[in-house]
Amino acid sequence: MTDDLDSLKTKLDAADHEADRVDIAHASESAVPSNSNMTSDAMRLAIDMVAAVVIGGLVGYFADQWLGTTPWFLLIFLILGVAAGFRNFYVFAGNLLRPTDKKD
Amino acid sequence: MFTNSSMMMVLAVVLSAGFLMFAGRRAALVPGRLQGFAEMVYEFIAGLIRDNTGPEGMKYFPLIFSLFLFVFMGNFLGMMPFAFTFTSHIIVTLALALMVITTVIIVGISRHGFKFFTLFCPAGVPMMVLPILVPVEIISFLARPFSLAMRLFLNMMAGHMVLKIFAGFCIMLVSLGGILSATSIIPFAVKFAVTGFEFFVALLQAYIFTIFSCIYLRDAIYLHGHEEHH
Repeated sequence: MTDDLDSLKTKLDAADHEADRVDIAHASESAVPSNSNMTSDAMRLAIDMVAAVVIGGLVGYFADQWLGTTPWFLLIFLILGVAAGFRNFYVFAGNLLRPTDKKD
Repeated sequence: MFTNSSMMMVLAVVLSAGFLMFAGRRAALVPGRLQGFAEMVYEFIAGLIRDNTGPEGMKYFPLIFSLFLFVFMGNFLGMMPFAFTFTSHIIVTLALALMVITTVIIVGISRHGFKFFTLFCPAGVPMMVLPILVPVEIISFLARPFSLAMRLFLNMMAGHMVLKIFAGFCIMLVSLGGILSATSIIPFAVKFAVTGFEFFVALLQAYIFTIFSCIYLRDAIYLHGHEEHH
């Protein structure tokens, strides 16, 4: 019985090792979930773009409150936030167009 | 204050921990049904981390696993009658997202030291553009926990709102009386379908929350993979 278990363990370890090797080989290629569909992609993009603008606005607003420079930081960071939103869009579109040929 | 939201959170933790302990109480080599299910959940999250964070990410398995179970239980318990969905409150999802991003920052700095901040400075960019690009990258990074939290919160809240609105339609139509009562079958059918869809969304959103946590963690572990993997 113990012998059986030992040989089974050896086999399992070997199989595990093999599986790990395969996983590492593929690890860098599947960062974006393959079963994502268009609706959830669109939803994600919408939230990502809005989030950047909101965060930019918040940073600017609180910087103004702190330094008493209303409205300059709000304006600057809003513009930067919009730019960050478009940067998210750019990265997202890049992922969408070539989802397979990624390298680390 | 101990609200119904806190009660559901305690329940989620107790149920998930209790399930795992109960399923693993015998730890048989050939798993029984319950143990098999627990192992399936384990394998699912382990695979998710290996695929999205890389082999190094397995160190953070306990965090990701707890996060998934907590969000999943929150979404699913919320589908039970008389229950409250704590993931439909933005303060809860935002706290979870801030925990994730804090972990990412701590892991990144402890692994790479000051070099972690080169995350905000993409390689191969002309010096002229950097003053604009770096703030943009920083804002984009700061927006991550926000969008992580918003995604979960919006999905859960919107879904439950739709359910409640259609339930309201049913009651209104029934209370009209006479032949008009029969038309309440239409919103009821919609509500029936949406309920099924909400169960799907509950699982999907827990999955998405976990996946994005994994991807953000990947940035902290392997710097500069992030342009391709965001």
